[in-house]
Amino acid sequence: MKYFLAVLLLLLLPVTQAASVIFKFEPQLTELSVLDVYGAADYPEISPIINAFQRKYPTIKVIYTEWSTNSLYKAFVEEPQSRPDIMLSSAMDLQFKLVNDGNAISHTSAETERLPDWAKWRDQIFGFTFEPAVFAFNADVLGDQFVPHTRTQLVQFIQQNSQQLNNKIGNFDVEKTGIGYLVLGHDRLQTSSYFRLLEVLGKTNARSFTSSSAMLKALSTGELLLAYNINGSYANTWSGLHPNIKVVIPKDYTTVFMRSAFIPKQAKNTDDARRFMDFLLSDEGQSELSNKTSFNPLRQEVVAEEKRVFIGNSSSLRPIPLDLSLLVFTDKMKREVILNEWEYFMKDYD
Amino acid sequence: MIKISNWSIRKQLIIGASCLLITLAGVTFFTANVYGKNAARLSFDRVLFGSALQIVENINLIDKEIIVDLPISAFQGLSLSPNDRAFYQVIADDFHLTGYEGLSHGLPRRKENDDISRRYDAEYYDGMYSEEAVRFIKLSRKLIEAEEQVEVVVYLAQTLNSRNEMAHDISLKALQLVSVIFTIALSLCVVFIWFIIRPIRRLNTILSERSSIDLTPIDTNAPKEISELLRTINHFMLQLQNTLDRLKHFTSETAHQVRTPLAGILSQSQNALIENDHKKRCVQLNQVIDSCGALSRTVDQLLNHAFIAHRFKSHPMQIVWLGALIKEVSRELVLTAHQQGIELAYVGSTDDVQIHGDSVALKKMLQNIIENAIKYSPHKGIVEISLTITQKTALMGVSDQGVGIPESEKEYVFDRFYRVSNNLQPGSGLGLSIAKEVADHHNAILMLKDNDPQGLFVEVTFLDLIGRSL
Repeated sequence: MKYFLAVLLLLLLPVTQAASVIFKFEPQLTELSVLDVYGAADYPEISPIINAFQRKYPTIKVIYTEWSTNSLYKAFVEEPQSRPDIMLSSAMDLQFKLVNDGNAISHTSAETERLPDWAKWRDQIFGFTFEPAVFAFNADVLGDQFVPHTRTQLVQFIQQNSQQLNNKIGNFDVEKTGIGYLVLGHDRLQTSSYFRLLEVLGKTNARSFTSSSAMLKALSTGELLLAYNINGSYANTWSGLHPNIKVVIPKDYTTVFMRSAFIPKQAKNTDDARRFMDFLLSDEGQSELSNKTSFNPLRQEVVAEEKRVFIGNSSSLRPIPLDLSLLVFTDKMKREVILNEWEYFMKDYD
Repeated sequence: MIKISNWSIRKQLIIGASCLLITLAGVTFFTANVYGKNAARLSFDRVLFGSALQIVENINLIDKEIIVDLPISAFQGLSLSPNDRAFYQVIADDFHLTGYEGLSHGLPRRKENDDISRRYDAEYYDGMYSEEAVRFIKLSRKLIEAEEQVEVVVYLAQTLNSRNEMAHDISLKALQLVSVIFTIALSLCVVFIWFIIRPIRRLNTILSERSSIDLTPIDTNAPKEISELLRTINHFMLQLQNTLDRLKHFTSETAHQVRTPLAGILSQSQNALIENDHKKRCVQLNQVIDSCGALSRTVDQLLNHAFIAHRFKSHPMQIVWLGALIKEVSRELVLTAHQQGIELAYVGSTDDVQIHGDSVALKKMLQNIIENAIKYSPHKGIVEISLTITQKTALMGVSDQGVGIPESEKEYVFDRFYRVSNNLQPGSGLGLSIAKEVADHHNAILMLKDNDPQGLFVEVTFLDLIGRSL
């Protein structure tokens, strides 16, 4: 048993140490330039976009380095000598802070001009996806019960079904997951039922996950019956594959976060970085996002009809804007305040 | 070197108006710029202050621990400047709590206090951070919990894009407004100036198109200044017309006056030529001699007249002692008078006065008047010459005891070649006319009065005295 553990640890060690994984996308024609992309998206999600980009620009070799959102930020700050040509991440707050600290160059083009004001800042950072945070239920287990559409209803629902839902609610580990922290922090500002929600989540021993996919997987197997604040585009994809997963777009408000991109000042290949940025925001890139990945593109008009219905009818969408208010979420003392509250309600679970 | 006063009035007016407008526009624009900067500074400082205040109000001391709960609204307020970066730092008793650690070191020395926030102890600074110019605010607050007391300081800084944009916007709007006003005002000025100048142009056209002999008055329907000028021109033309008329009349009269005696002389000479009787021929020849004498006197007077007229134009006035002059002329004529059995008497004060005058012309005037008096005096008569000096005037009088001049003819005797109707004495009819002209030239009044019991009293009153002896 001891040996086994040791081996396991040895196996795990390099994985945990290596915060990043590098993927190389060779060009279809002769390589003329190299674009260095750092991103927090999983390789399978990002590769269709990079492939599409290379179809358009067949002489560019793309090196994609995959990070977690926090390690991506850390690497950027701590290793100023090796910065990429373009930074992609779902952690809006961290991305924003890097730009606010003066690390990005400006980029204007026909594509960036089209973006709404809340999806860009200083012509330096641009949102390219539109990801609502939703509720997801396992319909098999819950049956035909009334489905809550607001957080108040959700709190009542959990209270009424606390026995059944005990240990079966999933939410983000706000300590480890940047996006979970940001969305929860946004909840704290938006709703008065925030603390009641934390309370019922704590009482039902809600479980923390580090990704939406993990939660959806657990939902599909019945390991979870309810997932709170999970990524709507992922949930939508999963619900297509697993009809027992029912997705609810909250009606009181739906937090929407964006994946964002900026070009660092130290970028070596800014020309290709600008091309990649414009491609991400173009009709071509946005429909590629819509068709080939689980990302929901920022520009809804390029989304196919059947996919658009998903969030098209909701007037309660509250995109987290790319503006100075994001600085609040990067504040270490604010983080302590939010995490302390969260831990206070959740500590029963451990 | 071009004299500005010789430039066209239009040019002068337009340049003057432009200078004035440019100065006004410049001052307005400068003021608007300063105002814009101040307005932008004040309004954005208020936002900065509001945000800092929200942050500082959300710092709490709980169980001896300082909790900084950054309010999102503070940063939403700052987001009103959509393109500006912002930095903050919270310090408690010189110990960095959260935010941008180097921010407080970026503070410059110079600080400005602002009225709106003085009671919160806010300080504003202009400085640099993260390679950009920023506006700082420093706001402090004392946290008190039981015995504990902690001083927390919030530093907040924001880049200047939005405030510069606002200042620039205000300046630009001011510039646009000033340009519009400037253009309109200048256009109006040009139009007005054109209107003002138009009568002068019209006058020029009228005068230049006028025939050289047309001296009729010009229509004076014009602005006051121009119509005054026109009246002056009209007056001048009227005088010119009069002068021309007089000259014409004088020329024909002169021709007549010279030709008549010449014709007499011619016929008398011819008569004398064919006259065989010696005595009669002698009488006829004497008549020729008399006629020659009369003609000679007429020509003399004509020459005198021309001479004096020429003197008036060519000789400047001198200072003349009037009394001395009168005495001198009287003395010269005493002998002539005596030969004709006339006594010349000078009755004047011993004082003397000075006038500006032409002594030659004045002498001629006196001679003419006195000679006239002698001529018309009866045998053994007395011609009295007087000079009366008052405060402001000097009055010269010449009186005789002749037949005088009938009242009805007094106004005509100054006309050239006019002879009183019942006058038997030879004369040219120019003497009084010359005297009158000299008197006029010296701004003196020549008046003819009746002497008591009979005769003529000629009075010349000099008005412009410049000095006197006592």
